[in-house]
Amino acid sequence: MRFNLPAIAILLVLATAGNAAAQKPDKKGPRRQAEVRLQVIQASSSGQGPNDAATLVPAELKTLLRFSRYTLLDAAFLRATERTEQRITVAGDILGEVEFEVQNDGQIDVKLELRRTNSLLLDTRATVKSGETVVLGASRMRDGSSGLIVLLTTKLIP
Amino acid sequence: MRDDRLREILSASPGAEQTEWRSARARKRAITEYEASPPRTIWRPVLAAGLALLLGGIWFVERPAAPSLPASAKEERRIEMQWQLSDGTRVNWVMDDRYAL
Repeated sequence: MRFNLPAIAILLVLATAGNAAAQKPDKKGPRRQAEVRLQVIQASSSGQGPNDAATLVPAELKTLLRFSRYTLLDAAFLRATERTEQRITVAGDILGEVEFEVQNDGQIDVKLELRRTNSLLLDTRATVKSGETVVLGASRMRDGSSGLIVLLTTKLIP
Repeated sequence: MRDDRLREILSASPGAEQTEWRSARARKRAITEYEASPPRTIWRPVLAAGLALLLGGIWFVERPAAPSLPASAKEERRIEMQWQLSDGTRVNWVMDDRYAL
């Protein structure tokens, strides 16, 4: 019986390296916590319904958009842990997934996904400062009659 | 001597008839100038209209352009745009035909 010694040596080296990488301690330290606030707004250029979120959307942004009506669907507030996917249900049937990670420079990389019964409504990410409110918007390219606006505020808990 | 001086002073002031005549002449001249001059309030609406026209022109030139898709992006399936408003608010806008909005 003959052994291919170089191949066995390479396999051993790879296995050792993989095991060492798996046991490597997390250099990022303890996971931070943050308060995440979501305000989900439906924008439309026609139709009826309350226009109660018109004051929430920045006036300058409204001049850029073609929508005429802004309806607040829901507002949610959650406390999340870094690098942990948080799930939340807003507006009855919209499932949201929020995940964030604090960068070395203190900025927060936030990932947000909204779905309604397996249909995608919004999936995007943004890098924000703690306490900053960023506007996340979604619309279709070929049908701009409606849109979804999310005002996202992420604030780190000291 | 004092009486002579008093008479001299009294004779230097215009008489009642002359005063009336001078005031009538001044009144007539003022009425003539007023009727001959154009109404002085015309400059106000003209100035207001000019100012409004100027501000409208500045707004028309300086207004932000509405976002539109470049021709090369018409065939794309997903487009992400990032804006920053004048107050510093950042906007991430995603256009995606997969969205069931």
